[in-house]
Amino acid sequence: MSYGKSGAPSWLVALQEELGKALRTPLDRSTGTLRPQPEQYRGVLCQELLPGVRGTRAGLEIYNRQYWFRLFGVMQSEFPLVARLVGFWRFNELAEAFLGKHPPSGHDIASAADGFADFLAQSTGETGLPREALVQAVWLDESWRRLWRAPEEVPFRPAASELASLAEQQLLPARGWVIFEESWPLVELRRRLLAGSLPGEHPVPLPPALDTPRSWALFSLGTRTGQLLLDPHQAYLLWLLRSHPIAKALGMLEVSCSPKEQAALPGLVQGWIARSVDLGFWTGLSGRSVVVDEVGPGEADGKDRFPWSAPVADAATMVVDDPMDDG
Amino acid sequence: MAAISSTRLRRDAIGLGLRPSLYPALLGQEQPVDFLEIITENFLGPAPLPRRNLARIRARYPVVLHGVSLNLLGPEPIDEVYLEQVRRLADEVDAAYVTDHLCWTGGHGVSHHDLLPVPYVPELVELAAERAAWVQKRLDRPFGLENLSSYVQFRRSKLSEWKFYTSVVESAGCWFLLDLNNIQVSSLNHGFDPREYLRAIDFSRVLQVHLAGHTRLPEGGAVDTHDQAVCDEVWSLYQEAWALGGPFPTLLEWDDRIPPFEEVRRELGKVREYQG
Repeated sequence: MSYGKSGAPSWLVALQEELGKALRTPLDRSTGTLRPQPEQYRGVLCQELLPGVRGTRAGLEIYNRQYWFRLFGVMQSEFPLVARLVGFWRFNELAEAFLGKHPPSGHDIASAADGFADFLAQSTGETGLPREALVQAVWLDESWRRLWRAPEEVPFRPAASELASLAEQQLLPARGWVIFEESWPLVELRRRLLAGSLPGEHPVPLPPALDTPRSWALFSLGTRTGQLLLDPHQAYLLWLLRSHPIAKALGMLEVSCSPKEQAALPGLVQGWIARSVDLGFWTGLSGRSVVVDEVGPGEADGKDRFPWSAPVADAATMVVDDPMDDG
Repeated sequence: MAAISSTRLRRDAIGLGLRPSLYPALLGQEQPVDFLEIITENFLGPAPLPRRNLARIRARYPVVLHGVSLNLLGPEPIDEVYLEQVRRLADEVDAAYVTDHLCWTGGHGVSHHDLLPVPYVPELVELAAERAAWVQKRLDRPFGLENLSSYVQFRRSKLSEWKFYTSVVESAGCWFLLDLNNIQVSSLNHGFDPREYLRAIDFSRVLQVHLAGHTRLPEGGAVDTHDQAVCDEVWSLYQEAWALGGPFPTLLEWDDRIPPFEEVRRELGKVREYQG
């Protein structure tokens, strides 16, 4: 006996291939409701079926609907902000187009949404949103998807002996945080959506654009998941620290500031770095440069990387999400 | 083959399917739940938070694993990498047993994330039994197969669903995870007598029984939705199953439109009532 190694008989393989095609048959949208199209199920499959209490094709319709609605639900939960900004109807249409080309293949159903961010960011179809707003919303959802999956890492807690040489060292960033810059208040809108304060399937209006873009640190580190609104200089410093030794990062930050801002920097910088260490943004020190994979639209098309000249934000606020909420 | 330790899970234990919305109630005050059943795949991914929450749950309740992606009757052989992940998780939570479904879920590079039936023919009894025996051996603990809710039947079938099911379990030397709601749903869709199904089961090999709610379709038939309370017909089947072969561990599944925990607790309370 080959114990678990046997393949299925060829007739079963052929039958399963036909059944799989029927399940993945796109739903009809012409009536304003998503409906199976039983006339598209192939005759060769239907001949294999006994008529049930509701006819031969009715059972296939149930599987067909389940396939798509289960996946639509997953895509909506993986991209909750995009789904509501464009509305479920249009979002499902985009999801169907994506899944038609990239059907799910693994046992982790959430991975069905892998690659959807790139697909959306490159999508040229009508969404009712300014393109830049769509791209930012896509990358906010995608950032959380990645943070959610980031492995747990031991946070860096500098020893007293390391403090003297710290300035020449480079901090190694944990994989559980990113800096996200927004031109619309998308982070807050996403939080409200997840809290259930805007129920429904119709598009939610895009809030008015911010006077100037602002940056957040999004993090899922240990037992803490949340978002920290960053002062523009704090955002720039954190970004610099991800790829430069501390002293060099501080020097670059100082150069970017006005004389008045420079005077206030020492006290602020100490607090910003201390907070980032406390939150677990770093896992250790390295004397050499590291290449950091930044999450941003630049990964989608290589062109639209977020600018980091972001000024303004009044006060740093941090919201820590419910650690029990694992989706 | 490993035996089910009665000290780890009582034979008349009453359990609940673990879903994230139930965490606060289960981790708050003590609840009348003897064990919890997790969806295996929810804890195999890279995200650390589900595993951390699972550790907290496991510290308070025995946990068993219920998979949806084994793909026992898929076109390709069993995925050994997946199986090893399941074994590790089972070891991690010290699961008394592991279960999955007598079905296929995908093939040719596509996972349909649904539990799909096959024609009930002797040739596939052999294939399913060979694979199930292998799974049980690799998991090194009792492995149970659940019967499906199904919406199609195949002309090729030569056996009743229950004959197919019992033959696979017997040949493999594995166990039944008998879902009474699925029997009811399939009987409505295919027009068989659910009690005839029950009478075919060797209850000495029932690892666990599932209870859940389903949705009746206005045009006839039913869909397995797990989004409401258990209906009278399924409770009646439960009474009969208990009379035929109780005690056995019983688990309530409530996956969608989950009500406040008070209502879930009331539903769990009915289990003892129907045991008579």
